[in-house]
Amino acid sequence: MILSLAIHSPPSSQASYSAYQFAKVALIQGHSIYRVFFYHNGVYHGSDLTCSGQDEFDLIDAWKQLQNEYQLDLVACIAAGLKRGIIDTTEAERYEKDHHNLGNHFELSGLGQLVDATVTSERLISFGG
Amino acid sequence: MSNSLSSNESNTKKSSKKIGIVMRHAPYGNNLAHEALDAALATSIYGQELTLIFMGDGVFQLLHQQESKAIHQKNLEKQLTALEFYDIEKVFACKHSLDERQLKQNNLSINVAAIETEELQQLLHEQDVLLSF
Repeated sequence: MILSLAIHSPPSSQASYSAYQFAKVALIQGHSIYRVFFYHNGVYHGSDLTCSGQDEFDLIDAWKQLQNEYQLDLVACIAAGLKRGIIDTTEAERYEKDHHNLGNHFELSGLGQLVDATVTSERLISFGG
Repeated sequence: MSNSLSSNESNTKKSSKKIGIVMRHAPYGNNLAHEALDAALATSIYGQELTLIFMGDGVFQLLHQQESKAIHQKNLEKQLTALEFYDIEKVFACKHSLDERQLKQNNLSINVAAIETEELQQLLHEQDVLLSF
């Protein structure tokens, strides 16, 4: 089945762990994931500066590995990202910021990507709403 | 992978889908309400069949005369009153949720159809996709 995920919760939330676990198991079971759209506080997943505790599960790194393995389309909402300080090099230049922090495995894009994922996938599963 | 899990073409072709956006949280405590409305506008721009459903504490988003400036927040009413200009006409609220909070239509900033729990269940069931905020 073709699935997409919408994640609205930050990496510190249990809902985000559930989202990752769901994605991983769905992929292992042979389903495909068309897109993972990070919206609202979910965009915090995009920060490459997150450091989890040594004895803690590294959710950001786990998504990175899953992305490498399955070539996932991980998209963070650009408007929600800008508001929360999640920006890539292009946006850093546009808004004249000295820094950027979006991980390489992520992409910033508009809400149209969420609508596209909704229409294209057989199921869209929301986490953290 | 069994056949039952294979993709169903009729569901995946790029056509219009019935999308329900469900508002379940009070405004201003976080940014969910604003961003849900942004998602609603985007959905309608892309020509999808959209239904907005306010339930639970989400009905508080509909309250009129919100003086959000006092807490340095953008007013939600402006976004709500813009819905009709985007041809978003299917706006429903859970009657039970309104009653529980003693809200009546004249307390609300926009016209919504207040529906009974059974109708609400039916409405949710009719949607191809639900986005919950």
